[in-house]
Amino acid sequence: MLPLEGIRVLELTTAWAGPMTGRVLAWFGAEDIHIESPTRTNTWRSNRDKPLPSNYPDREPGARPYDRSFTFNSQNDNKRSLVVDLKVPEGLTVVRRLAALCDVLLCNFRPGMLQRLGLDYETLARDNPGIIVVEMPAYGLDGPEASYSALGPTMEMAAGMSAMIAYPGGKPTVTGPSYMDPTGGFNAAAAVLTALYARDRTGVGQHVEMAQVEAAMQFIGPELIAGQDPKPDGNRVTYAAPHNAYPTRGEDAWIAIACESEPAWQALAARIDPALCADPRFTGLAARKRHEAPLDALIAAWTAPQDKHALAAELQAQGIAAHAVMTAPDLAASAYLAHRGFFTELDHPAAGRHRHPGLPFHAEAAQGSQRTAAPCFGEGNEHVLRDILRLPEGEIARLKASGAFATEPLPGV
Amino acid sequence: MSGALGGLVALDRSGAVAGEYCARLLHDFGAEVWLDEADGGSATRAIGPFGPDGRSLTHLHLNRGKRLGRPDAVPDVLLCAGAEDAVVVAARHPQSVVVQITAFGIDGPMAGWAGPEIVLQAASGMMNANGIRGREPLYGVGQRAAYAAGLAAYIQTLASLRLRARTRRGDLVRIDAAETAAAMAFPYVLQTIYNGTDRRRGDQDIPAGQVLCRGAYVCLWVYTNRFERLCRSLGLQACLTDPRFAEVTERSRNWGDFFDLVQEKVADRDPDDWVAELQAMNVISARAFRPSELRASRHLAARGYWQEVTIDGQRYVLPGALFRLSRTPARPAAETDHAAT
Repeated sequence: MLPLEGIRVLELTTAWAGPMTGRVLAWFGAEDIHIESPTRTNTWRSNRDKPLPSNYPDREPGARPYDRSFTFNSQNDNKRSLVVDLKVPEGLTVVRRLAALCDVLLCNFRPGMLQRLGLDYETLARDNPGIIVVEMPAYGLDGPEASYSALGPTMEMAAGMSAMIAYPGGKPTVTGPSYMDPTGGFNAAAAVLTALYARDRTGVGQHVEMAQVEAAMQFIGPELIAGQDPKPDGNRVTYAAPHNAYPTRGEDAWIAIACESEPAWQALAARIDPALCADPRFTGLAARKRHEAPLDALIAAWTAPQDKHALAAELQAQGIAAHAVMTAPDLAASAYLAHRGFFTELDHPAAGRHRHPGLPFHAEAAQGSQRTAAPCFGEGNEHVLRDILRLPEGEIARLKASGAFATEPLPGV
Repeated sequence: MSGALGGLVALDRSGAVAGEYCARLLHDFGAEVWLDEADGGSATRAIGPFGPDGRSLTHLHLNRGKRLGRPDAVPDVLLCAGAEDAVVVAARHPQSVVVQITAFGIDGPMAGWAGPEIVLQAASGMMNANGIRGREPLYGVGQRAAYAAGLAAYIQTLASLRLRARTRRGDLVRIDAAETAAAMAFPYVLQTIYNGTDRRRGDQDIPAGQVLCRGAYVCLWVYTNRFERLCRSLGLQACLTDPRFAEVTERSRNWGDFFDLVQEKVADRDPDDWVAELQAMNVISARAFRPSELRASRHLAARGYWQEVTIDGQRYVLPGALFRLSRTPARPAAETDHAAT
């Protein structure tokens, strides 16, 4: 039995953060219907420029590239796709009727959109008092910058993180293409589960505002409470040395090594050159911090010809914290992730059969799962009209004729 | 109702950032959370930064509001210490949701590996993308991977509690910080599985860059349909016919050159004013705030984000709630309920 069986989620989301929230809920068994626009295609299905072959299986965009993109297909497993134009009255009517039958509505568009569509909490709760409406704007629903648009990199800047990540004297650095999206995705999933817990006892839903930037700031809470600006110094930290990434054999190949205690340093020193164990430049954290440049240089010289994976395993066996700086192919081949059951092989009707990355939630009883691959564009249109709304055939035909529904992107993309 | 999670009792003996963060979220949303520290106190008391009185601000952030000690009742949620055998704990507490968070799991090829933040970020696949190719990749800041593991534990715990309400049986939750970090990396791993792509730093520029305005950097992201407007607003019309930038494909190889030109135009601009101007043009942008500057953010102030508390005569400004629930709001940080006092 899955913990969210019987919960129906309606997603008005795009790109990563919102769909990741729905993905978490669907992992736990919720029925998730992802609403998509026929004229403004989700950028994770298809960007506005010419398709890049590297986004698709076997580098082939195919006839329907929007069904084969690795980005969309990574975040939408276990879901159905309802492609409906909310600017067409018939389309909006269907979505309102659907919302009346849902437990959760997710929205990661800018503030005000739900009100404009008549899908805001106050309106929906009149007929559906159990509904939980989650809005996840970047900067919140009010305040002087509430209307600002955002993406992961700009949210990381606004959250105060990037200014603390830089080479000495360098520019603020963004974490990966975006660290804020998955953070927001998890935070909104936590919000839904919290509100569901309350609803299970009272029968009453509520409105949830999860401002992505504010929520992410929890991750650097101590630094914000300190209210002081640490001087960016690459990977170096005040509490440990060595603490850095060092080159290894191969192009742009690295290993992270951190000695957070004297025994860990002594073990590393003995492995590099036993004479280092008694070298006064490196005895004690304060001395190593004073001589961190030569310390890093000698470690880098030692790691440079070695294999990052083998060296990390060897160091960890000796009690030294280390790990290869993983690339995507490293992750795909990771024995650790495979052991954890991170990948599930799924058939996708347009993209083929592949291993799909999963989620990190594990429990003996309430174990979620990946059951179906991401839906093709508009795959769930019929299902929604026929099986959920149970509309008569004549009305279905009339709705289809209205132009509100689509199974391929329409002009305006 | 006293918060969304009112009536729940949790016992936190995790002694680590991830577990204590999970338990703090349970507290924030209404649970009664007990902090049971090991002899000598939780390890998080030794993690900086530290306040003027020497107090660990990490411990303050993670444990404010919790009660010290153990509850009389059997806890609904029990967060294990690192060295505990969670199976034994779960057998003793069959009605509880027992939570164990580790770096790399209790079995498998990396069981027992040490997982400080830089190691977790290296394991994630994300660190590989950070920084300038040819230089060391940057791990990030703080203990974000540990917080993320705590957040993952919170999510699974609530899912397990929901199932418990139906089955009347507890659960054993296991969260790996390393797996959580990998799950949060951009999904290049599926791209690799799809077609073998080995994406590296600098392979394909994204249309984003940072430029230094007066006193602060501004990050902007220039979608194709905003490029002309941005160029015209900066007096960079020549870029529209410059062979490096005129076509999308060529532009994607030359973003660095473009942002160098932007830099020349905006060095004296007020960062907040320029961001407002960019946003009015629908160019996605933000100022790179330093922690000290966030305290002065007019936006956060207008939203009432910060919470002020006084503990032992020392005033602290704390981050606001993780999210805002209309019917069962998070507990405000109170002056008298800090576990460490």
